Amino acid sequence: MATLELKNVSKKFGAVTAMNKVSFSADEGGFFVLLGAPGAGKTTTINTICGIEEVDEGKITLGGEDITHELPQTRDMAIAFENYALYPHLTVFQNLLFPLESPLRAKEMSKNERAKRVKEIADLLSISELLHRYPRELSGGQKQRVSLGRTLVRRPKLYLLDEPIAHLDAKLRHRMRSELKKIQKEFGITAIYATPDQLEALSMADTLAILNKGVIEQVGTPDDIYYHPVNSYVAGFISDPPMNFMPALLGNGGLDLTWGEPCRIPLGAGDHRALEQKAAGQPVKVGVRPVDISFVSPSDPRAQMKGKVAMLDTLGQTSIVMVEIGPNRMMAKVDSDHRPEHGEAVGICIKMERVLYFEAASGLRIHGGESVGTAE
Amino acid sequence: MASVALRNVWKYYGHVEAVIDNSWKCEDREFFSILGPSGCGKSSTLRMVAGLEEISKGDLFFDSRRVNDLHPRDRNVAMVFENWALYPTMNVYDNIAHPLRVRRIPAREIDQKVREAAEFLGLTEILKHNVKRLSGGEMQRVSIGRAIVRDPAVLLMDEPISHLDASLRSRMRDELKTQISKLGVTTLYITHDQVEAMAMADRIAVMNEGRVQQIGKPLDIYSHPRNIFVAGFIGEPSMNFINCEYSSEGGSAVLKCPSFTIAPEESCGKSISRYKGGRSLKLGVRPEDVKVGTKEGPGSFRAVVDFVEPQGDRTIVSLRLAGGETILAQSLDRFRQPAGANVQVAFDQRHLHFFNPETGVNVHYA
Amino acid sequence: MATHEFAVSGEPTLAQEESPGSEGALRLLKRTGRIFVIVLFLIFILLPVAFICTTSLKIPLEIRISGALLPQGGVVWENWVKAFSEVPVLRYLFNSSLIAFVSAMLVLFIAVPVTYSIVRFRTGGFLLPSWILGTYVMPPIVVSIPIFTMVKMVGLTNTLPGLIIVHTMLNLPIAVWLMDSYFRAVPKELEFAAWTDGYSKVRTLVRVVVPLIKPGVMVAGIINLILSWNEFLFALILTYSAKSNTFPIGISNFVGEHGLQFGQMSAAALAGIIPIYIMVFFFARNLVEGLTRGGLRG
Repeated sequence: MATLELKNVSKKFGAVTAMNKVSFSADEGGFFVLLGAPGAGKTTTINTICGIEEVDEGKITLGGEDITHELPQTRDMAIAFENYALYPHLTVFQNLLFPLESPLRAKEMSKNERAKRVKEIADLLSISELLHRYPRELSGGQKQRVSLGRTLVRRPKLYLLDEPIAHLDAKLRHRMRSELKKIQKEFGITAIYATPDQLEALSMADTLAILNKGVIEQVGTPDDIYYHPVNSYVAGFISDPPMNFMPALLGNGGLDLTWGEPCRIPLGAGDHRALEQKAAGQPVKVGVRPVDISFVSPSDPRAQMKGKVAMLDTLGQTSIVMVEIGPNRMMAKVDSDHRPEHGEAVGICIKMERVLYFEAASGLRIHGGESVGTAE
Repeated sequence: MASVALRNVWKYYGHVEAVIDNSWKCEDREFFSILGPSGCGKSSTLRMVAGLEEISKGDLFFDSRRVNDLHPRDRNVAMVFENWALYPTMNVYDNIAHPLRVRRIPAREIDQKVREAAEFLGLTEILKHNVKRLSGGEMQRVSIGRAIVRDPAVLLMDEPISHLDASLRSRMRDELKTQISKLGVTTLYITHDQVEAMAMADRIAVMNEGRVQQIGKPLDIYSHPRNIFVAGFIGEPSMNFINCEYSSEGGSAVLKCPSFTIAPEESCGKSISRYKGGRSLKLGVRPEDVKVGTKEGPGSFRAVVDFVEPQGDRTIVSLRLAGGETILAQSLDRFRQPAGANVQVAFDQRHLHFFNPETGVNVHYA
Repeated sequence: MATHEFAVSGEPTLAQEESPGSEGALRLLKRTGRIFVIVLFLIFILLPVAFICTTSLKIPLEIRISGALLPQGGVVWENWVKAFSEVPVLRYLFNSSLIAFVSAMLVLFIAVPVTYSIVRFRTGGFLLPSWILGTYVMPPIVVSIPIFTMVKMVGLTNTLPGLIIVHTMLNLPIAVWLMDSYFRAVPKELEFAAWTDGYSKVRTLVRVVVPLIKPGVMVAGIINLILSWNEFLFALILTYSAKSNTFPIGISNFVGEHGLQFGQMSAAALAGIIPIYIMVFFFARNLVEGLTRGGLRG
């Protein structure tokens, strides 16, 4: 059993708190993703799990054993770094062989078995022709694959991957994502993966944890996090373009938007009651996902607001529209076939049944009943 | 302002052909993007336009003037580099003023121009701040300020936001686009990220291995890719490619693939019948045009779900077809079938593409 | 698959620029100037060596009265013969070589772990690196008496090991200082990965870090060789016989009945230049690469 568990782990660097009572557990064989903006504490978390950094307080257990104060040498993990970290004075083959020859592990395999394992991994990552080359002769993509190979050549209890494909071309990155996931599933070894890219996190994770300035905001499956975010930070971070937040006050049977011109959005009977239970009189943030916005003509009765198209990005099948409503902006994601023109005056239609509500002060989501605001 | 034109431009590094017979024209005030994977020659092209590299063969024109031999400082281009290259010891004001001071422009004029640029970019509040204290967005604006303060004819940008993390990148993209359209300056923008090019550019030149593959507006390139490379490079997830055999039954084209048979719709069918290349074709269909459902329908065929990747507002489904091929489908609704389930797959017939399997060229253009 | 999308209108015009003629002349002038400066510099450096060469071939009388470069009174070899027969020059060369080589090796052996632990583990905090540098900055003559006393106490005066130890102590700081930037240039992740794979810190240092700082080690080694070879003060006070006299001391001993024998001294000096020239020439490529690499990384 190789379930990794962190309990209230904290780590400070001088005045900066990198990890603040971080707790989560990663199931054996699962792909656990740590998602967070740069500086959120992902690398520190990975380093404390690896043993490169000492924790200030808290406990780390692997497979039930307490490893909080063990040296990295004995934790039986393998780590891949963002900037490859290939040994420049060794060939690719020697680089891949190096982890298998460490004094602690050398006894586990015979020389032949080691060479065989290296060849296996090289085939899996399509780098077999490069085995006799030196790192300086490789392209960025090749170096990244060798770096991953060096991590995967061992079969430890845990893989730690700190943004290992960050510096690849966009296309190559997408391909490596699925390759990496496939390999991990094949080996069945628990993997902890850090990334600032929310799309990457959503597509790769079995379980996902959002890290914000050293604090874990939420842990859950990608669906959980996307459809049931626990606060406005998570909701805003997980969608791209980010969720739109409109400040509002609860009035009679509707929401009065408190930005710019007064505007009232009527609520259905169900929503109204649910919200009132939790947010009577409180200022509220209304979270609208870009995909839940559509455009109609300004005179259309379905339009809840009116605005002007300020920017249009055509990305292919979908287009991103930035629409200005007075001094405010909203981002929408629509089918390119139904996109408005740049500069056009439009009516904005929001799918109210998919909207989420958050307390304005704390950012916590108002659970106005699960049937409201979730896609079902 | 100026237009930039390349005519049969080549670039050699020793024996290596980095840029092969490139010709294109970026119109005055246009946002023109050169898009391609690493090593395709886009950076070399940009450096040739800037004058930092010699043009091995061919001509470079600014408006109608041939500028091959013009020294970079006389070309009136401004360049924004990948890592912005701000002077770390100076504040915002000095960074922006630097290119003018180097040209010995009188101090009063410099002050006026710097303040104009700062106001335009919203930097007036932080003019005296040292650049080390700035956020990523502010630094980007300073680097643009430094580039535009000279009123350049052409603005050259070499992957200015690719080193940023994902969420910052999309915000920077929007800001960049807004500022540049406000400025109205001819812009050449190099990137490997097709999302950036598609979102920002008026027109895109797609490059691969030194050659220009296609030039056009983003949606045109998306909907009518000239060859397999462009079709696969634009759009994420990439287009699916399936081998098929062409035969005509009763005068209309029929395509047999290992897992299914397709009768392409009118206009497609006509191009295919005129196609002289032989019986094999490569069918290209984008994941968003692959419809997956549980019930049979017109033109649908059987497949098994390989795995499902929820990505927030869309779901990517990997499907294994009867003939063994794997294709990706994109669903905007929440997809609920588990791995291993049997499903019915159909293609949106309006958006199929066919390519010559040897040359890779789209049948429409052959 | 180039698409020709346009036709350029109008006649392309050549941009105005300086005529090719004047451009070329300026370039030639710059180049001549550069060569001139380099030649001047070389003359400045090599003239003394040339002078010693010719001095060693002059008759003693001429050396005393003439300051000319070339031998006027004929070329003689007696200086060379006398130098090696009357004074144990070869013994001096051997002593110096041994001391230089062993102390350089010792310095490297100690300095590598010391520098690594200071750079990677911040051993000694801020004070230790400052102390180390501080001892080097101090003029050695200040501690000459205490060091003499200490060496005498352990009975190592007039021995090769004694001088080796003193040279090692003296030159250790500069090795630490030189290698510091090379250690800093090694990405930490290389070591982290090795540790995680099961390599101890020492093994990682030897198998991962040291191969990557080889140029730095070479630089430190060569500088130490040269420093030890040229060292005069402690060689003077700690050695007093041919048993352990080093080469610089030996050279200064060319005092005959009639005063300093410059001719023989020149011959011996030239002999002494050769070993060092050979060593440095052999390592020259590593030295320059090492120095400039360190400089660029800063």
